Amino acid sequence: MGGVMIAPAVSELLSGCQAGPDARYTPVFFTPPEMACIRAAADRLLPRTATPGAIDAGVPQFIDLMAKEALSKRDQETFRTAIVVLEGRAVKGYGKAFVSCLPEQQDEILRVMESAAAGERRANLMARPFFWLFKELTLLGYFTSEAVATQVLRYEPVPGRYESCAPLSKYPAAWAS
Amino acid sequence: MSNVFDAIVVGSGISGGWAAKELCEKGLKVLLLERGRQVDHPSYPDAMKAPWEFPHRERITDQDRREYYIQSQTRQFSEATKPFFVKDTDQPYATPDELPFYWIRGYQVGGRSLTWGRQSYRLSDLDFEANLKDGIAVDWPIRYKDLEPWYDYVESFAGISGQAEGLPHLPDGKFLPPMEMNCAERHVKDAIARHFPGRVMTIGRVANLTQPHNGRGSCQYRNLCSRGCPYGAYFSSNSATLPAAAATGNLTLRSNAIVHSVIYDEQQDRAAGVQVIDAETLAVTEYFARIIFLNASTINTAAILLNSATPRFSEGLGNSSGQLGKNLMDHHFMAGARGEIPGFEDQHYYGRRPNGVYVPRFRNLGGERSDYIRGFGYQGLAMRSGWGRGMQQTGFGADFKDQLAEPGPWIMNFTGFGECLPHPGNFVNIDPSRQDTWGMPIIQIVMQFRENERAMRPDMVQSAAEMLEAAGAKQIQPYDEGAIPGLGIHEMGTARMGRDPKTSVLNAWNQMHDVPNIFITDGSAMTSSACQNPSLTYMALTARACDYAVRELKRGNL
Repeated sequence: MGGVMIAPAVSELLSGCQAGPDARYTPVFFTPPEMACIRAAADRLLPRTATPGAIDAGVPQFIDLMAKEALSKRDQETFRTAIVVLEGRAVKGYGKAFVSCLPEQQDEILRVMESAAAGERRANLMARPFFWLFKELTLLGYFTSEAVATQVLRYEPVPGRYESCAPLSKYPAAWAS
Repeated sequence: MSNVFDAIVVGSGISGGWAAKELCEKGLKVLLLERGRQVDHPSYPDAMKAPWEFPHRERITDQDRREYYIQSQTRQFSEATKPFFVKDTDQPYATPDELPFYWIRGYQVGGRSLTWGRQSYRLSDLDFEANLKDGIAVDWPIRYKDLEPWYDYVESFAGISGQAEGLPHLPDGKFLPPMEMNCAERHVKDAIARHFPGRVMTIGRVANLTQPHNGRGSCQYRNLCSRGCPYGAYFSSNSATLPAAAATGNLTLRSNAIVHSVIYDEQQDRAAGVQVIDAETLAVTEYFARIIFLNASTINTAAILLNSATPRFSEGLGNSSGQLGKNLMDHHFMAGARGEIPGFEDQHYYGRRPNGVYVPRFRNLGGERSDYIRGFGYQGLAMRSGWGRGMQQTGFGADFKDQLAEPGPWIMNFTGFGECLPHPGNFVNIDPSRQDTWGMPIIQIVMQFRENERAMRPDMVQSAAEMLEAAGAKQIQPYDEGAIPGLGIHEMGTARMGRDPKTSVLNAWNQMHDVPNIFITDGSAMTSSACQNPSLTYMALTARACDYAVRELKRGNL
């Protein structure tokens, strides 16, 4: 879809934040090292391309807020425990912290977590493993952010009319809400 | 302020709003009592917010799950609609441990008319004759011809958009122009017509305006109705009936006014008025009137009368039949099927239509099933799936992200809404030994779906799946997500209409057999549930009862 069309808007969005919009962010739920890990993982889930990435869209801060206010105690524990596991895999596999791993190494660690989560969900449809929770919050925070809703998706607060059948070429972007 | 009025209406929701409007327009001085807070149309604080303006992006918090432990069970409940739902920790009620009932409530001016689903269907003689034919419960004391002019009347004011289909069992109404089906829905509609004689898919008949109507604006296709509509584009008490009632100069609206009980005058054999508790100060006030309309919603209307026992009516006011509080019904749903509709990948739509499609009941129109009686209708919808499909996909990264930004496959869903039979073992009562913050006895609800409802559900699943299959759908997922009573948010039946005072609470005019100046026109009055969304019928019954009540007043009979 319209990567070219939105490129100027994205570069404008990104130009003021080379250090990352969350560089001075003080987490409300995670410890600073946990926050750095969540930030790095979210960046691998939805990296910046021609369109904004998770960090550009403020996803790490959103996950931090949701972890504090929306997750149950049990899901909070799942998050905390998973970060320890994730860091353990980074140290064991690559001899360094997750944030210091190469992107391919981070992806490899995340793929293992994803596979474990899929297994848990296959065994129990009601299971809420870390990767599943994390992916949901990442997607939610990303696609409902102002930057993504208005620049990548189609956000129309007041459409005013309904066109029931229109060529995709006329309205190529998915609806934001 | 004087405490004497011509009429008192209890409850400002979908039926109470109509009672207030009709009685005011007929020249009566009306006191409208609402137990919840004031809500001012059209300044709804959350109506215009973008998703990112909600801190939790419309999801609910852990605290919400604890404080709204019942309300959060309905999909209508979100960070954006929370202000229109009660906090369960403030409004307790009791159910047996093994029989949950999710009682979804909106205590504010306008009640649940602010958050209702707006689907508006007429009942027909298939429904009004059903109890008599099946030997179930009692016969409705009215037939379609009694209600038909009143359906016309309320539709003309409320504004219902829809498509006439000429079906005898789902009568056409006074419709505004219908909303349109999208490409995939048209395809499914055609496939159903080709493969299933007797099944029809029509656009939802919905209380959203497709053109300006009675001073209210037309739908803007935002699909954010349940936050309140600044355009007044869907019917609610707030947008439609309450302004009309207020315009007469005859309306007095008191919010935060919890009706404790009806005051009964033994000598006159009439209700004299109501006793009201101020929700904020707990001060008790009595109001008096010549007629009383109870529109407090099915469970609360029954509870008020049960809490109004007198020496003559020791089991609750107007309960000589013993039927008050009994025969509680709700529609059972969340059974159907969904699937992908291929072939329209190059098609899309503009706008967010706040409406789906409807497949009217097609079972037992002539008694063809041996496994259950009555039937169900389907509500459905096709749309291109959004980024949420990423949760069903394996993978992450740049390509994953970019493909989620594009419209996904067309998904068509059908959910059955099934009729629930009246059963005296499904009931509400009050427990005077336990009281809430306001000194009201705790309500107990005992309700379960029974044999006939359960027998219907496999067919609700199977018939949806076979329609999708006929439409060439892929990845068809039949589902039955379970039926917990209450979640249909169509409570009905606790003060049923009937022909015999020994077996029913209300007569053919929604007038109490025992106390003739009390009228009940909310869902309590329903003698059977049919399978159609019931609010339109409450509106028609209300307007009809108001007309009758005022005529009776003028004749000196009340």
